[in-house]
This record gives sequence, structure tokens and C-alpha cells, in this order.
Amino acid sequence: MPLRVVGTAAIGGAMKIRALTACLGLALLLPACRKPAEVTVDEERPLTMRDEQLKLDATSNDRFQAPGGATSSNPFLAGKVPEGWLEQPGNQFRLLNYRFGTSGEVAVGLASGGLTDNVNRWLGQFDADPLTDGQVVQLEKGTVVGIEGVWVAAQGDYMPGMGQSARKGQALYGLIAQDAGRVITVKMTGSVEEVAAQKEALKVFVAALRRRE
Amino acid sequence: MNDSARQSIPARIFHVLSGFGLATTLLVILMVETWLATLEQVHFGLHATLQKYFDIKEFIVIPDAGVFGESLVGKKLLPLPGGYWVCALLALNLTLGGIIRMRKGWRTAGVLLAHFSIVFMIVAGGVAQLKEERGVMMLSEDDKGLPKTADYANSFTETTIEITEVKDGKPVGPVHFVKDANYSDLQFEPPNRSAFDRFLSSIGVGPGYSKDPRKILLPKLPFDLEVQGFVPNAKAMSTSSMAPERGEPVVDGWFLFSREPNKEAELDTPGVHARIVPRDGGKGQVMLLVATDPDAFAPRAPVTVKSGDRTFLIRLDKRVWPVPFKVTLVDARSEYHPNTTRPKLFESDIIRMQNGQETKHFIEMNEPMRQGGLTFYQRTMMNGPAGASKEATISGFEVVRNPSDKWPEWSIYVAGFGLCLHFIIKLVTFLTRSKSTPAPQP
Repeated sequence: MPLRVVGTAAIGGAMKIRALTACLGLALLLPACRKPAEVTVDEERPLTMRDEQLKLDATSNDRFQAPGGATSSNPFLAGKVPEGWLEQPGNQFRLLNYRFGTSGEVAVGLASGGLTDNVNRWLGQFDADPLTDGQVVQLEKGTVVGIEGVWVAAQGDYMPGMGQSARKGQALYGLIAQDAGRVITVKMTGSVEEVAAQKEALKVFVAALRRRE
Repeated sequence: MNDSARQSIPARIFHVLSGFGLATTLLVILMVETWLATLEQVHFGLHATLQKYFDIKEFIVIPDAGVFGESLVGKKLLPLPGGYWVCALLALNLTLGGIIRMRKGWRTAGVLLAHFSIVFMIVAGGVAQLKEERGVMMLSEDDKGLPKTADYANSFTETTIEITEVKDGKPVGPVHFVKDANYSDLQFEPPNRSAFDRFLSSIGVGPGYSKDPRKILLPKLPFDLEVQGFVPNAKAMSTSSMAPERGEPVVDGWFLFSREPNKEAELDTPGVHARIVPRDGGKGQVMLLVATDPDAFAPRAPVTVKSGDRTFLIRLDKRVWPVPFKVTLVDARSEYHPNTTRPKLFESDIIRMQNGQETKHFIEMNEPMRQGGLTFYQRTMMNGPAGASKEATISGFEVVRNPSDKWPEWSIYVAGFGLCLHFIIKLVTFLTRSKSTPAPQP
């Protein structure tokens, strides 16, 4: 059987491929080695003034419940939460925050700008035509914490923004009221069917909403 | 057979590691990673992006396609090598090719100095990542909520589990602590992860997930600790207001709800599930540990654990960096540019107390206090809990201990000197050559 002659370039090329493959394999293996089941830790630091703030025998309620039962930066208290609404943790944009059904959300918040700006911001999320001041005044009236506002409704593809993708077949129903430069919003979004089913519940929730003393 | 084929393997390796080709490749990779990280941090925050691209533990980086459009956020681009290791290889390449292999002589002295300074700057970055301690010390003028005097700073993002023994109602030192590197890779796997994401986790790229607990042996204490289910941004929720949705363990009627991490990572409140493992083989107390909320003025109360007749307090919180002296805030002053919230002036008068001696110091923006290897920068100002006054009553200092703090500054001086030297040498050579060797005649 004749010997097959292989050029030095081919040998060099084959060696380079093997070396590269070995490096890649090592690079993939190295980071995977990082989950020990047991570690020994022996680190210490001296006492500081911070360690003098002692509270012994604190219960879980003591440790996790904020003074007054909620964050002091949230000026609203829910008077009546409809059945089936699950409370979610709030944040600076969603001071009171609930979920219901498969995709329904309700959020109470404070916004800046004017009444018409905020109405059109919500409508813009459904690609609906903006309204003029005169048209906003014609919307269904409502009241939240004693302040008169307007109910806003929209339907279609919902583009919430802030990096979230668009959601098809959604609806919005909510109240926007303006009070001395701040705008109070109570916004419900979800599938068309779920929002329709919860409209009356939302109105009850809004009527029972009150300010924190 | 040619010369390159006769070269030994070590010689070939040296040739590659010291070559222009490698230097160019590494610089291009660094340029691409810097560009991608700059764009990606808009979506995911500065701290998370820096960790992803430039942390020592990250060997491979999968950039996010969101840099090319909002609709692509969450999709992945081709993998790149981790930035820390690219810099390390570049430092090696510059040392081998730009210093060791380079011709030595008075003509190349300037360039050698410039290369050395760049290597020094890269090394400074590596030292900073490994050794830097950086935290914030918040002090109040009137001791309401926040302390007026402190001898510690808190890390911005790093957390620790701290265990303090208490005797007769007083803490007994030292405080034992477990760094978050020992538990932050123990997140419960979120549902509906793609097969590709699971593959990346299996090879150690991206966040680690594990349903298994890790036992932390504490040889100086009468018990050990078992931890699992780390949550990067947790909120303790009561089951009376919300039911766990993903099978989260419930302890004492509370569970850890996982929130989306903030773009500003220092606003996150990490949490973890823990259990005491007594040495006598008993069942051990189960607990939820969550860091203090960033807008709270007092630390969250700890868990009390009894072991025999000894009492211990356990808490999870931002890492405490002890400072070797006490700092008291005397006066905080702030000024903003008219009709804006842009700070014009942030300055503080403080008293430093060490070994029974008091000294007054003035700290303002860009004029830090340097003492005992620490640097105190004026970072922020705010009002206190009352919030009514417009004048700042709370001063926040960024406290930094970094052995390589001044190295980048020195390396720039050396690089500048080296390049000037090189240009002068070239200029003198050119001028003297013109005089002694006239241009050849046609």
C-alpha cells in the first residue's frame, strides 16, 4: 500500500486546529468548575458602631414589616381589594400593585405632567389617536380620594415600553385625576375579556381608595 | 525545511504571545467589548454590565443583541472572551513583545517606557478589581435616623451574612462573615428558561442556578450554616397578602418574592434562604435573610439564634468595611445650579477622631480626604427623614481603599515622559542626520 504524502502546511494546519480546539475546550470547562457543595469560611472583622444597634429576639414580622404596615413613601391605602386580586410588591412607579387572572394588572401611581398628557400617554401605548383638552373633558367622569378625574379606555396591541415587547389583544381601563400639580393614576390592563370582567371591581376599588394619614 | 518549522514549541509560543498579531486582535476585542458594554449598560445597569464583561470570574461573555434595537433585548450575540482575561493577555503580550523582545538602546528608551507604563496601568486595573474596597458612609448632621458619627462604610453592592455573638446584651467581637461569592450562585432556576440559556449556565456563563443547598462550615462557631435559593433582588412578602407563585419556601408566614434587578444595582436587596446546622445533629433553625431596604435609615433587625447558653445574631446586609477612625459630620452644605437639580456645590465639615485626637477636615467635590490608606470622596447629599428643609442635612461619603489608587496617574506621567523622550530623540536624530549626511544627488 503506497504511503500517503502529506504536506508540512497540512500538518501545521491540523496542529493549529487541534491547539485551537484544546484551548476552546479548556475555556468552556474552566468556568463550569464552580459549585462546591461545602465551603469553609473563616473570615472576621472587628466590631464597629453599627454592631451596637442590637435588637434581640426579633420576629419575622418585626424584621420584614415596615413601620405602619407599608412603605412610608406610598401615600395611598387600599380600602377594599376585590376578590381574586393578588397583591404584588410595590415600587416607585406602582405604589399599589395587583395581579388578577392570567394577565391582568392594576397599578396605582403618581405621575407628572397634565391630565391630557397622561391620557394621551396611555392611548399612545395602544397606538390610539391622541385627544385634545376639549375631548378629554368629555370622557366619563370619576373620583379618586375626593379628586375628580376621567376614565380612559383603550383596546388593541399594548406597547408598555421600557424594554417590554408588545402584547396583542389587550385592553386598558383606568382613572386619571389631577391634584395640585401631581397626577393620580389607577390603571388596569390585561386581556380584553379579563379587563371587561373587572371594570366594576375596579370602580369599587377606586371608590374605596384613601390617602394615608 | 524553513526557520519557523525548526523553532521549538516554547519558541513558537513566545513568538505568538509577543506578536503584533495578538496585540492587534486583543485591542480590537477590547474595543468591541467596551462599545458593547457602553450600550448594554443602558438596559441592564452599569454594575451588572461591568460584572458581565470585565469580572475575573467571567471567561466568556455573551453580549446582548439589545444594543442594536429595543426589540432585540434578551437575544444573544456571538460569544467573546471575558474582558478581564483579554486585558491580562494584553499585559502579557506587551511585556513579552513590547519590553522583553524589543530592541534595547537609547533610541527605543522612550517607547520602552511608554510600553511599561501601559502594562503598569493594566496591572493597576487588575489589582483594583482584586483588592479594592469601596463603600459609602452616610452621616447626618442631627443624628436623626442616620448616625452623626461612624467608623464603618457599607459596600454598594456586595453583601455578607454576618454572625455576631451577644453577651449580656452587648456584641462580642469579632464579627464572623460569609461573602456573597459563597452563595450568590445558588439562585433557584426560574421557570421557562430556554435550552440555550440552560446550556450557558451548565458551562458557567451567566448567572448560576442550583436547587441544592451549600453547607458553609464555620470552624470558630458552634454551628454551621446551610444556604440556598439566593434572590438577587428580594422582597419579603407575607402569605396573608400574597401566595407564593413558584413554590418559594415559606418561613414564619413569609417568603422571598423575586423582583426584577434594578439598573442601579445598589438599590437591590438580595435575599437568601438559610438554616442553622447544629454540631450535635439537631434540626436547626430555618430563616429568611434579606438585606436592608436602601431607603431605610436603620438596618433590618437580625435573627436571634441560641446555641447552648450562647446567643448569636445573624443578618444579611451590605458588606461592612471598618474604618480605622471615627468620622463625625459637623456641617453639610449644598448648592444647585439655578432652576435645576444639578449640584453646583457639595461640601462637608467633619471631625476625624483617632487615638484620642480630633482633627477637622473639609471635604468637597473633587477634593477628597486621604487618610490611613483610605480616600473619602464627597459622593452625595440629601435631606433627612423630616425632609422639609431644602438645605442638605445628610452627607454621603464614598470610602475607597485601593492599593493601586495612584498607579494609573503615575503610569500616565511615565507614558507622557516616555513619548516625549521618544519624540525628542527622533527629532534630534533627524536634525543631526540632515546636517552630517546630506541627501544624495541625482
